[in-house]
Amino acid sequence: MKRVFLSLVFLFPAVTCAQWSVFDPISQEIPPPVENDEWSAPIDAFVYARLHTAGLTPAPAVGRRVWIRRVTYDLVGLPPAPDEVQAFVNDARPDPEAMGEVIDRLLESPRYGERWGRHWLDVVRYADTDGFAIDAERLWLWRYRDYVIRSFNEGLRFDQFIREQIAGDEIDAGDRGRLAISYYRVGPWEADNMMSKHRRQDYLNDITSNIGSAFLGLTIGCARCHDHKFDPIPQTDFYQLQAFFTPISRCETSIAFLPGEMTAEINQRRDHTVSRRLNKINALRLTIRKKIAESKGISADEIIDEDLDLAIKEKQAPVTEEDAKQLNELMTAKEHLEPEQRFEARLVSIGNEGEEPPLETFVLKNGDPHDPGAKVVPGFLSSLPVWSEDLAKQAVAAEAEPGNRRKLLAEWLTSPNNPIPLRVLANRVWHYHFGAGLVSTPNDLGKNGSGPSHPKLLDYLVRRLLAHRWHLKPFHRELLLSRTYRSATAHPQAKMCNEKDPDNRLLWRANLRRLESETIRDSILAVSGQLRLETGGPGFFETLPAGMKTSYSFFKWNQSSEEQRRRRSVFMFQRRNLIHPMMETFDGADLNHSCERRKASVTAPQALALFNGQFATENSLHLARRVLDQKSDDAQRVGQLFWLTLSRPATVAERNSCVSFLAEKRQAYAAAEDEEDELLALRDLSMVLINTNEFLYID
Amino acid sequence: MEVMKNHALKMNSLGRREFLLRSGVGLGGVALTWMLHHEQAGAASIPNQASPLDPKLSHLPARAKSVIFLMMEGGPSQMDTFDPKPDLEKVDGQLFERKNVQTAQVSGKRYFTRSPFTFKKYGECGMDVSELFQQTAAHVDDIAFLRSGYCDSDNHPAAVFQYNTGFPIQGNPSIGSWVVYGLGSGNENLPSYVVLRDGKPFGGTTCWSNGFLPAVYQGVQFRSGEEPVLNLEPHSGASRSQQQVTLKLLQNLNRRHLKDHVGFTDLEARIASYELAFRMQSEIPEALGLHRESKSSQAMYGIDEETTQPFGTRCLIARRLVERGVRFVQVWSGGWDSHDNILVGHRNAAARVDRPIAGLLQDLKQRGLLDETLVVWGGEFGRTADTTEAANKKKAPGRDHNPKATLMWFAGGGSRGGTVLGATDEFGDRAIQQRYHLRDVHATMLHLLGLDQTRLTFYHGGRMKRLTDNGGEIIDGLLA
Repeated sequence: MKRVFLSLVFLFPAVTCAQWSVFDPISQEIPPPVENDEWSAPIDAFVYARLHTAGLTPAPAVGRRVWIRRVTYDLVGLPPAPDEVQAFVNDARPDPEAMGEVIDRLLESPRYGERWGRHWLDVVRYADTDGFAIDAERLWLWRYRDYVIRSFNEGLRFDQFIREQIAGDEIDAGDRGRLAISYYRVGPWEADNMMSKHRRQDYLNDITSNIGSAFLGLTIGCARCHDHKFDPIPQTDFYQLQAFFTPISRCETSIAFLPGEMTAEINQRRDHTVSRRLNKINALRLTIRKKIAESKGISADEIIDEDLDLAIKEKQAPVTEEDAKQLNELMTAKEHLEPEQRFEARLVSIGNEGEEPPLETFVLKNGDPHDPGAKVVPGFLSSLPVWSEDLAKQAVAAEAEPGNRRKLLAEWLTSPNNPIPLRVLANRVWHYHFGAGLVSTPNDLGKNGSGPSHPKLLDYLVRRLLAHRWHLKPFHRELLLSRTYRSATAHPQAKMCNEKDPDNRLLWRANLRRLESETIRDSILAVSGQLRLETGGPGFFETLPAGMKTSYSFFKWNQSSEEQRRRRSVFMFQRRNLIHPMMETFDGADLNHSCERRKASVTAPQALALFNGQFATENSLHLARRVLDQKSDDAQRVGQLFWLTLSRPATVAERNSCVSFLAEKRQAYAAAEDEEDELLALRDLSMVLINTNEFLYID
Repeated sequence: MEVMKNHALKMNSLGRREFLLRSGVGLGGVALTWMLHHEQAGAASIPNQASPLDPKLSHLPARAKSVIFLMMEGGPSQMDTFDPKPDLEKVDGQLFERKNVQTAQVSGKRYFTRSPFTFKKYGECGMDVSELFQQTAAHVDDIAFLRSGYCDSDNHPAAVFQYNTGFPIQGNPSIGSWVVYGLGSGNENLPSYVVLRDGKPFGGTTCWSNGFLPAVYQGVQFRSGEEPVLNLEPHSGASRSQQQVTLKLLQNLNRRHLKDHVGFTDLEARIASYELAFRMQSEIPEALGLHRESKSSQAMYGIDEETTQPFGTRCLIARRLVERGVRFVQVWSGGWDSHDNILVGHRNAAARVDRPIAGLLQDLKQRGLLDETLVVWGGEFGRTADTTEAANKKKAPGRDHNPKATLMWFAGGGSRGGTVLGATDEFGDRAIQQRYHLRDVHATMLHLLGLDQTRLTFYHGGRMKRLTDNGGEIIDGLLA
């Protein structure tokens, strides 16, 4: 062990911002004065001042067409519709007004929660199965996924969002809170591990690490076996943080559907359940009716319902006790419940049913559950100054109240005096909007992370978050209306800037961003006109390539209906042991660890997927039909395809290339005596457009 | 040297810490340059088209260029294959009671079980091999046996994860990904890391996952059947020449777009990736074209026989792939989990692989490939010396999971043929002499490929991570 850490120490001799620590109180630094009017708003002033000091100039601002594509992808994860682009480009009002309206429209769209909820699901390592050998399904975990999406859409304050997930059952948060604590059930679980002590400890450790990454932006998991080597986190901190939730046990509970939770899918299932029971009742009544008819020597039709009911009620022979009992059971079951309750709504949750969890927590030597050391009581990160003696005392006292511990952790995490979760949140939001965080390692704001490129700006953003009372929507608005957000990816002195700041940490231009796996799939569905915007409900199973189905028959993968498979990717069933190849190929989220940012690799299998694959081919055909339907010539169709896929008209040169491409393709298909030559030629052009770098990378 | 200039330039601009962090891989300028602009989407531009798969300089002189990793899934028994335990004969059927020794995860009464297989000595080295591996036995002078391996988990998936990734949990890069990350590709028209599976997987794709390494290092599954690689053939059924017409327009549009995005190397790389994908469409079928192999060559692998045909085919594909420069081929064969009736279970499992393995070793040798190809054989754990009460009653004793004694063997690629390393106790239940953890095996494999385990690192989760994260010892006794 020692050897490893020695080598690590060698690798980390210096720290980028020695003077900055995420443990420090929030600074009150005001924005620096800036001589450039365009950059005088507070956020921009912080950015401009640093560029100026480094001898760099910012990139010019983008035009409206680029801006609306950028902001639409940012907020809703889909391309803007051509008429939305046109309307905005033609909007005569000044930029701030016209842009503000676009932002407000996008923030009010249900697509916003789907996009930003997906970001949070990355962070909490959401999946619909256990992982490991059995990879059992968590059939009701989607209710947590939908809770996350609804929370963003409804503009839930983020501090409340944290409180509900950590302790929704202990604070006064009603049924929402009970849904939210499924947070504790999102990670992997080794169901068939025979060593139950290890299994349980692994489970608790995984949650402790995730709380560290997701809320505290610290690699607390490193302190499981020993004191943290770089950040001031002693091993006892790991276990005293864990002590807040040591008593939890995994369980399934019932909780009725909340308003907004019912979906067509659930309604359908419920109807199915109800009608199945009705069928059973009718079948049993028919059997009894026939029995009576036989004993009386008459035909079954001759027995009226009232007589049948009476015979059953009084158990007149030949009706037996058993007949009456069976029928009664079928009839009384949930008959009087409200419709949404009839389909029994379950919840993957935690509680005190089932397993009996231990209540005490020990520091484990080398992390070994069989080697407990000193006992610890609930406690917060020891390196953060105590701002409330009372809260600290309550935590210690909570050792005696296992059902009252987590709400103290929630209170500590969301206190305006705690600088860490606020910095983590502000940095995360920045990361998603700008393609890189001010700290470019959003799950690690500790010493091993990148350190902040703009520490004062980060703290300014924290103050803005507090001013907005943890509401994200106005915070987004502020970032998106900044001049910094409007910078182009291109820069007249790119070469020089690149030599000075190759990672663009100072934001001398905008980062070029590749779409994430989900966004690629959703965008293709959107431009081909196939996307179904139904939100929520059980995950759907996307088509698997033929070769995969057979080799993975071990795991259930019942392909969903064609309609279901046209839904957004956030609603795709996430199986830990069988990640859909489209998601895997395009760097989907790691389902086992908290995913702070998506990779954007460039590989040949990606090219094969989009250039040869079934999904891309079929949707290109749909896209082709969209423009074929209209009575227009090749040049016009090319223009429409460009607008649909790239939000802009084709240039003359592009149009010419594409028109002659269509002619060549048509000829080839006609030569092969294919009657659909027109459509197939357009399909191939559509295919080209969804494969372009411009479609997949956002300026 | 253009590359080195870039390298120096980056050092200035990045600062010492950042530089050290990222150059931890220490593979020379090309790798560094690539990492600099691939770690972050839309990161800096570098006027250089280095690909993440470009061949890289190894840290040390390499003995092996490629690995064929024969994965016996389920856990083959040591005392029934290459580690005879005559003492088991004396206690066969007796109640298992040993001081300070607990048995496997199955509770209840347990009984010692002798091996139902006979052993003979083979080769100049006089190696003991059971009747299960009579054909592989012909090559013992080229094989180094490690009888004293051990690992941590007695549960299949966790053990399979550890065997492949070094960790008993999911989310970490497999050894094949690390190797390709470290060495790059030996053939730019083929995937560098190929997986040849058998039936259902324990833990699925985790076993060949790139974990936190870039996706380009993921193992690529070649499937049996008509479409060995996903999306290799156009779903539209387009002819190659028609595809070329489409590709031409795409690349034309992409190059125009690039003019406005000078220096964004990801965009250039993506243009190149389409060319590679197009070449792969013809190269992969060629590499898999077993019909080009002679009848006798196919027979050597047992392709002419029903039992050995599937695994034999995979072994022959593995040889064709390493011949073409593929770095790492994982070849799976299951059916080793003989809790009951080890006689039948192991006989069947071995019958599927013995002849193909012998054929593979012979073929590699006669083609002069064995020197530069490391063949590794093993399973996720060994098996117990005892059986359950139920299996004993049925007169069909088997063996349970045993991570405390895991046998592996190595051939070619700089390993020391004709040797045995380490020993288990008198019943084969525990590795007791020269014990080596799985991480030592991983360290040794990297070493033979010219990779230094402490320098093959990647920044993730707040620190530099590596395959042998808890430290591994190079097993000198296995080196030629």
